[in-house]
Amino acid sequence: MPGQSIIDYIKKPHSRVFRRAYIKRRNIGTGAFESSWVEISKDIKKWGTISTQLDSERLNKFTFGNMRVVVQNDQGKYNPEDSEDSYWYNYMPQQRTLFKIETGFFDFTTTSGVTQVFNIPNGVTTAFVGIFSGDMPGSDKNEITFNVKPLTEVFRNYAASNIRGLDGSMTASRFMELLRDQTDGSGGFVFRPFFDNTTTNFDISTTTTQYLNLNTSTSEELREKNVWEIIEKLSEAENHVSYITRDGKFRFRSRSALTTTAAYLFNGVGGTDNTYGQTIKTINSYGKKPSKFYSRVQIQFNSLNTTTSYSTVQSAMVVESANAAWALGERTFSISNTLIPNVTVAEALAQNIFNDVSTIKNEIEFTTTFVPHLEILDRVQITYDSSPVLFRSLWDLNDWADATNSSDLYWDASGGNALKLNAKEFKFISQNIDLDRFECKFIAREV
Amino acid sequence: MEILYQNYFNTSTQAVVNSNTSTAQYLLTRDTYYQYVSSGFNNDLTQTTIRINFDATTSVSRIAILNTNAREMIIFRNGLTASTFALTTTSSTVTSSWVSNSASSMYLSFSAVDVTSVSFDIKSTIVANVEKAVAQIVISSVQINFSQLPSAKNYKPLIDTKQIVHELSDGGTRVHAVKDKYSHKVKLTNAPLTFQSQFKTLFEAHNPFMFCPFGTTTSWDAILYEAVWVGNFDFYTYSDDNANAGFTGNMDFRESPT
Repeated sequence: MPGQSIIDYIKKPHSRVFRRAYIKRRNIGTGAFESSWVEISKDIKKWGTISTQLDSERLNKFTFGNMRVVVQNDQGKYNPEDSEDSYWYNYMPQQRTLFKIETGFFDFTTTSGVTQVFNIPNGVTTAFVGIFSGDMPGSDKNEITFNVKPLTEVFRNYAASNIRGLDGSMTASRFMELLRDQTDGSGGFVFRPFFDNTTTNFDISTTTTQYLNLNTSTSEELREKNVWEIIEKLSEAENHVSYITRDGKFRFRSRSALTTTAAYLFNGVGGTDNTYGQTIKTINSYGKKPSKFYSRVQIQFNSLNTTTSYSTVQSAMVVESANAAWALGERTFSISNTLIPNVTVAEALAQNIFNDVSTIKNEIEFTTTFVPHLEILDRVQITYDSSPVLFRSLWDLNDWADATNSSDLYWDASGGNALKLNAKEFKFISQNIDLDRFECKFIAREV
Repeated sequence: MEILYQNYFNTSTQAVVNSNTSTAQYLLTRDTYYQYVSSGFNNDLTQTTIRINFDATTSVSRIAILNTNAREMIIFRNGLTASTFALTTTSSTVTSSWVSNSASSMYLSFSAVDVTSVSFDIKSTIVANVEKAVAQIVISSVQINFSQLPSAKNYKPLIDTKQIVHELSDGGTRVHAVKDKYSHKVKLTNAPLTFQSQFKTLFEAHNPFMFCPFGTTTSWDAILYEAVWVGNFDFYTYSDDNANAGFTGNMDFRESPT
């Protein structure tokens, strides 16, 4: 309905949802992508899960689950390009075909016999852009499974030593811009066609540290590496993140949460917020993550194995109750990144990482109904108050001899004690959107 | 109760409209909330034309127009406004020309006639001076006209909904509706051999078809969809244990993807 937002539709007890899939093929003559998306939604049997993770396994590690989309192929439309029935006949092969998924809610109004359909959120419903990549065999079930990978794959499929335009004043952001503008030497853009042929789909935060080792394509740092590996190393050196957004933009930015205020409020049992309503189905796990606690950060920034090649920041272990290393054990987070130009940068980076990992933080994994519009690193609030499982007397036994309060008898709190979150803030580090079950699973880390 | 051939209008390039070309594709969509809507024709003095062209001369005998707000309208063939269709199921008119239509959906029956195009000239709307709107157009011909109808207990129409049901942490339920599809289970008894043969031909073709249980010009329930026959052909069973009493068989029709 006009005037209603995505929040209104997420909390509606009964709503209409949609999912659409599109492909963009490459012209067999020019090699360029066709200008319009071709919808293939009605041929899809299984949609799979859009799975995006950042920092969830290791800092600065952006991973994308292996999305597998199953299409029915009764008419041979998804055969390889040498089949006359194939969508790809007279187009380039299926590999690296662009693939887009739109999903969200929809609704309509009818006035004087004219029906108007609304897509929510606000017409911007792209949930994923990627490419077909890998083996895609058919079977006697008349179906084909497409392996879909995120657009990071186009950077993986390009040798770093083939990059043109490197010079002695290369910063991380300039390197990213160089990728944005990278050509084949004859004016044909190498990466940009996968990003809708526009520079605005590259969101690059400016950095100032110069990486002298990236001055030439013959640099040792580039040897035997692909472009994405260099992007990851630069992100690590800058304490930034590089990833692909839901709508297919390349983003290079700091690791802080995207917003300073919560982008969304999740409520489970015990939550009373009516604006966002109830969305949590289950909390699968919640608690502190000692496995992500480190009392030492050690960075090797020079390939020589000498003490001056390392920068270390640590909290000394002291045998006292307030000392984290004593409480949790001394754990070292090691980084080897020889792109880091000098000890000053290494020390600053080590300190930044130490600030982030030297405090033990809570992580939560929870499952919700369909919440399609959020982004990795979004800041969210969670309210959940589990009900007591073992019912006891309504009278709180602990208060019988309460010396502080004047009344001996009062009702126990109605909520439970096992899990109690009251508008607690987290940022997303992993999200899975199951398009077959219209269900989301998130992992979020305490802010 | 009729089974038609697949919609002869099956690609948006067949449709020529005089405004808002991008929404002409919705004329093929069964979901009637997607409409072709004119642009700049929200005046009863202006006329919207929708023309469906065919590559070759095509014999048609059924036209369905769904979820429209047309009041004064004329449907004609081959680009000649005088070439209307002589309706066999008449209402306020005996030809496909209306001055004050009030039905939002119509299923028009007429004797087979060869056409190279079918045009819809919409001159005014039921609520005056709004954009002209049409959800779906079906142009086809009859494959099987049921010479006998199933009894009520042998006829199971259904809106088969695809939905996801979530149980939330507080015990509440949330439903996400993905799509509603029609399905019909029909059982016929005492079907004569000629009738049985028609169904056998339909089954063996293994093609989709249009199914319309009760098509009428007025007060139509607007149930018309592209269906597939799911399961077996079992019209070999004699009815009433009598080889001369005809055949008994079951059909399971389900809507195709859109």
